[in-house]
Amino acid sequence: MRPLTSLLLLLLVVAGTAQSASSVDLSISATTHPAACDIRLENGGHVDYGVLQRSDLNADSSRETLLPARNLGWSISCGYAVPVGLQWTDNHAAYGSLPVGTQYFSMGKDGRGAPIGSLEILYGDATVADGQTVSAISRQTGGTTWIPNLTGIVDNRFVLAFAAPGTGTLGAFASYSGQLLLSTRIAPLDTLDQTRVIQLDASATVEIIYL
Amino acid sequence: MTIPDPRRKLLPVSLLLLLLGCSPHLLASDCEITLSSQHLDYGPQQHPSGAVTPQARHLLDRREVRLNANCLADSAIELSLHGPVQSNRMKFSDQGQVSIQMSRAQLDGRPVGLARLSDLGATGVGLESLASAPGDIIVPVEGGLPARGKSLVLSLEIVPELPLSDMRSRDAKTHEGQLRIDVSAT
Repeated sequence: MRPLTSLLLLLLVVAGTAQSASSVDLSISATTHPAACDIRLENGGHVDYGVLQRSDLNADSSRETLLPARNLGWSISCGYAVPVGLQWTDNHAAYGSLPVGTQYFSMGKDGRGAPIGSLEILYGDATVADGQTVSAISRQTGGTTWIPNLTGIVDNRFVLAFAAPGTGTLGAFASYSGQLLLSTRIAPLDTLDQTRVIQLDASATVEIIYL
Repeated sequence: MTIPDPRRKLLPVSLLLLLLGCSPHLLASDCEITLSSQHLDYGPQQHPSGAVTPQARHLLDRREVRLNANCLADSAIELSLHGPVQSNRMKFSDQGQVSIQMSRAQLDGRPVGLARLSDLGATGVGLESLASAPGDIIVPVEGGLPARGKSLVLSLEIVPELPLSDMRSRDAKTHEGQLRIDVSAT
């Protein structure tokens, strides 16, 4: 066989076994949007104890007075399910509280600069998320591990959230609602300036944290 | 002494050029592949309600796409899948995946099994339903061997999934996945 003919046959053989190809592309897309939740506090978040008389306070002036607890309704509404945490900031932390502690919010200071007392904030048992009762969980600010918060107490070292029903696991919900329990203490009168009106003046901000 | 006729060399060279020039065009049109839909847009997705664990994932709807591969002549048809991979499956968004299940394969109207080319010797027979991913070469199978035919049709069941963490972004986000399917015939 002549060389040129051999080359031609080789090409024919190669052509006969060569692979041919055609292609098609498939693309898949979806979109997500950031969550946007609104939080509302009953009465605009304003709690007024009115005017307290001396007789409303502990007769033993060396002991603190625990005022009757107040409830304050709250709700969070998100367009769709999203896990959120709640973190409270004491706007009057600089005035101090009595007792002192990370769960005690300031009630302001008297004319001599002494702390008037303290406010504790607790999430009640009846928190409902998407129609189901949920329980509070907390994790340290910046932490990753959630632990049960059996009393629902607010502590400024922690972020508070709500677990999926029947679990201790963070839940995502579209709506949340419940009652805050406000526990207010007034420092022993002996520690306060009784020559002037004592103005209870607590201020706190709650922030939604998208988890 | 004889003088060679130049036409005797020109003829084979012309044939050779003809082959080289025409073969690619002919080969490329040997098979064609089409999908009933080339773009699946799932639109806005909402974070599901309930427990949020680090491993939790959101499954998007199951969608079906029909694949049709037609070749000019009886051939052993191969489907090659190409694209980014995440945990051995088609990649979707940053950390998500797409499950691709091939099924209901018919070659020239008769039901056939499906197998990865690399598994042919091991499995012996094709499967009615086969999970596949980029990197796979899928062939129709009859009697444990690649089947020959002109027209292969099958269904792709597509189920994308996203980790919940991918769904909680500070900005609007588009999640995308790309797959290319080549058909070839030998």
